Amino acid sequence: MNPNTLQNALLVATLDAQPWDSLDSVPDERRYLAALDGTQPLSVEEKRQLWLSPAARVRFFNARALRLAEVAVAWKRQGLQNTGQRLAADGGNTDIARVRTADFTLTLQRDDTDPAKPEWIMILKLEGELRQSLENGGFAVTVIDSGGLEWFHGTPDQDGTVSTVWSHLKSPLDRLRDHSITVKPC
Amino acid sequence: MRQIWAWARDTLTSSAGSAKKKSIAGYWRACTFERPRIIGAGSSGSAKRAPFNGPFTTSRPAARHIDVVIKDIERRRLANAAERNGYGGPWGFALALFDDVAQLQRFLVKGQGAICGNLADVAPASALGQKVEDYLAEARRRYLSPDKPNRARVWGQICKIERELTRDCPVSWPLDRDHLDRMMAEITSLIRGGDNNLPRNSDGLEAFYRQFDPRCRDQSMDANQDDDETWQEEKTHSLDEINAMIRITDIRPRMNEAFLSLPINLKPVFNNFLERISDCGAESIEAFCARSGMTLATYHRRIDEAKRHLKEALDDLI
Repeated sequence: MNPNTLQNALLVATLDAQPWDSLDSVPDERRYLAALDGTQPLSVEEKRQLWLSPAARVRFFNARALRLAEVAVAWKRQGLQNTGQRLAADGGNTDIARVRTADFTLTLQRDDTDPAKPEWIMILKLEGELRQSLENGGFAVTVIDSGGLEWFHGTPDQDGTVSTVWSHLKSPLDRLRDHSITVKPC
Repeated sequence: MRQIWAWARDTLTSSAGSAKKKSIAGYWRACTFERPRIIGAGSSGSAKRAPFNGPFTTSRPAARHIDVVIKDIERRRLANAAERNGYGGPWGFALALFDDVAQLQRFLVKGQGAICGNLADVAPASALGQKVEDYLAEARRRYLSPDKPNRARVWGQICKIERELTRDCPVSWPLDRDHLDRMMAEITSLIRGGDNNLPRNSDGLEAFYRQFDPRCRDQSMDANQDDDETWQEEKTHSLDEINAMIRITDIRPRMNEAFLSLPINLKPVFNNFLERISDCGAESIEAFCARSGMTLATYHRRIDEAKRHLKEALDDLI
């Protein structure tokens, strides 16, 4: 199992065991908004408080939810193409598929290394403004199809790329036949 | 919060039995209109009861109108911050509906033409009252369905609504939020703990919350809140949230370092422990011990050691 996943599990368990404190003694959302924007990074003490105080986390997650909503609105306003479909020109190939817009490319590559258990590797490459806005806010990205299925989510690396393996039962090609793909901040 | 609490308690009380007369519907009848359901005198001079219209459904034009009225109240709440504060914050909508009967009456009377179809109709106010009664009865039915009468369902529903309403309002109303958080924590912990004493009827539910409410109020009013485990938060953080915190606090390198510095004999045991708490189908403790030739006592001792080690490594941050 991925070591980061195990570390995260430990953090979840640690945080869940913390007793509820008071909202009176933690910074308000504006403070966390400034930190999320990068204009006023958190001090060591504030970072510590975030890990130690459930009330601080309530404020932080509220601020984050607000920023996420703003990012989604900004994408719409800027006309970024965060939704795309597999085109006919891409059809026919059963080993590789692409969904491409001006702002992202999702590539699916069939991996037959183990013929008994073929896998689909998915690589999402974000471009331009879309990538920049996620980087600025420190947001992860989620890929959802128009049928409501979440394909995957993850944090883009320095190149604006997220890669993972298909984990659902139905083939992604079948899903692409019927559904469009949307990239959202999360 | 206290007001809405009173509403919730009364709502539960009212469904507990006919002996309990402080129901919202009863309150409605007593305060708002003349006795409802009497739709006038017939030629014989005897009053007759209005037919029961059945549960609230949006397919009925009159019921739809009530729905519109309620939405109107909510819109007013959202539009008017002063009013919102006056009514006690995010529950303004519910308070207006359930506590401020006069305000609701004004709205309903204004819309009575639409409800009765004809203002000259015999007793439009009674018809309105009936509609609201139906609405409230349906709300009670929804929350206290006899087939699933448990507090988690009831309060899960109420808290879900509250959370939707207060999502943007945690700063101004900490008491409300604390109250609900504690309530949810208690419910969650009892259910997770396999508590078999969940109330099976509305009387039991009422008794539970009558006990809970004063405790929570005392706790909220106490400036020196200690770490009473009764109120321990049972929130589960999503991995997205954890990742967001890791990013903003930049803790990952420190975590990696702390994990890498774990003594090698602790690592497999601790990994098994983490796999179990991450709920990903990990090997059971017994199977792990049998495979590793380790006693249960050693297993637990090593986990404690690993925790101690990590705590020391990250002590200045977590």
